[in-house]
Amino acid sequence: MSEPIIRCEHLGFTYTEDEENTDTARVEIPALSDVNLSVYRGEYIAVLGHNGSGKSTLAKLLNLILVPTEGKVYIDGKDVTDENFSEDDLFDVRRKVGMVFQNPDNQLVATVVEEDVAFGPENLGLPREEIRRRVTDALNVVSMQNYANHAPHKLSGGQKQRIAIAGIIAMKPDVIIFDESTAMLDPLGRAEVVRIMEKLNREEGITVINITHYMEEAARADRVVVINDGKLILDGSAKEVFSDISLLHRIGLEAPQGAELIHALRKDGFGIAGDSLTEEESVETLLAFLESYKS
Amino acid sequence: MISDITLGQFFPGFSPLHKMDPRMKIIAAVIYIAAIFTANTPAAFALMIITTFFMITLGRISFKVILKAVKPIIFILIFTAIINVFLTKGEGEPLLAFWVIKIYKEGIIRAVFMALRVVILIIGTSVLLTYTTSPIALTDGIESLLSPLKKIKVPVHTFAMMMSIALRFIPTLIEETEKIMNAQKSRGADFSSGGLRKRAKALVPILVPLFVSSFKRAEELATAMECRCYRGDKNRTKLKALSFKARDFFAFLIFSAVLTLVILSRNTDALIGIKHRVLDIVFYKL
Repeated sequence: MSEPIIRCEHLGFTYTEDEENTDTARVEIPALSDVNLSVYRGEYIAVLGHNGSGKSTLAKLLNLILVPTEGKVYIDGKDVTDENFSEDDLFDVRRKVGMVFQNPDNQLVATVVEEDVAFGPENLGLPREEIRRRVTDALNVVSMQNYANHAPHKLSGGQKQRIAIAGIIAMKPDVIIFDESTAMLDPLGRAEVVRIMEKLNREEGITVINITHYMEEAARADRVVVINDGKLILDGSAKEVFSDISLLHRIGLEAPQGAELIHALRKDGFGIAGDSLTEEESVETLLAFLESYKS
Repeated sequence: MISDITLGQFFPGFSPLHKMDPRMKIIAAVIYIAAIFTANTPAAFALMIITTFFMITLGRISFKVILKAVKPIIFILIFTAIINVFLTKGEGEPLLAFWVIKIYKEGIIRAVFMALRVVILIIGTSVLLTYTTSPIALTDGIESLLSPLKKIKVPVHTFAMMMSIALRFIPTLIEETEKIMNAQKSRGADFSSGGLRKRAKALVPILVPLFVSSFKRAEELATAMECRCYRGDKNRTKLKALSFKARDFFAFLIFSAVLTLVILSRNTDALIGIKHRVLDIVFYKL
């Protein structure tokens, strides 16, 4: 396989905080340790982990909002911890690895949709015609072209999040990290955002890393990575990861509902064969089982 | 549209005044203010009033709105006018004299001029800068006009960015305040009864969570901006650049002409000489 777009070697990060009520003592809070992870171009990865597991820290390390305290991160072959790593390189990494956050309100800068989408390209110092072109294209990708002149605060949560995504697309990144971008949305908005994620991955060839709480979303990804207490503990296809449901339970996670149901039935002694992740698959597996059970 | 921010009562529209470059509007407002304070003859005031009416019509602002703008200052205006009438001493015989009060012609003229000045000042600047210019356009205009100050290290871009982010978050924070108030009300808080002291006290439990969440928002926004490669105005381009059009130069000419006429109509000895010379030249040419 070709060189990964993101490669982490023994990556670790420790937050240092002043301890309360003392002047000198500092507390070190390890958030992530010894993470080895390679992400290849065009992959669709989900990152799972309960709150405080370190998954958001990982995201922030990948586009250098945080600087690793241990180990190395290579973005497109470039070592970000290298001492020759310049400020221009830093902004190049941030352009390549875009990030969409949880709260859409706190990501939008401008009072008009198209100006917000233009914010990234403006920062890159692109010529005006190019910015215009990218804004139009990005709004088309997220199907928000009719809202170019609207005020963002009048849009729904899902629409705002689509604008935030357009703002990232306009910078033409190689990778987009969605840091719990669906957590604050209603089911409809969530479905919209997931659809766009998958469209970006399939049609635009953008590598998608979806950090999420929703197992149903994770089950759709090609590859699932599970982080627990700052350590990467599972890394494999969705089928592989969700096959060990007891392990997931031990670390406070669940499998998608269908898989959970089948797991519970198996525990009670029903010999159900086959893997099933999505709702449709579970329904089929159960129907097949019922057929065989009757006869 | 852009207009959806309700601050300073911007009325969205497509009138020639709306389309004017915000920088030129600021410049025009400065000239206009200079003209108002230079004016001291009835002719000059007539000219200023005509200019103001012209602006109102051009901006398609209804007279109701104009009345609303003037309403809050009417009391102060009348009060100062009366003081002016009573306290100004003039030459010659007073027009009216009873007991200790003497009213002179100069006093009346002065009061009328002063009142006119304040009224057209408020109307004119509101029409130019608030009613027909969105706060964002105004911010852009100010940033552009002040950009020469960047040479002496004044962080003009940063201030403009702060201003526009503040404007962007006004509706968000209003929404949030409502949410917090409802949450407090549902737990029995009372914001609408009691004296001033009690009401002010009731605001504390709203302000504290509002501030906490604003700081959190600010931090998240800063991270999001960094993720989008924000690095101040270093190497930054703009989607929409301000550009002067023919109408802006035309407006500049009109305002300059008004100021010139007002200066020429001034009744001061120092200017009379210059005035005669200019008029001589003009008439000689004709």
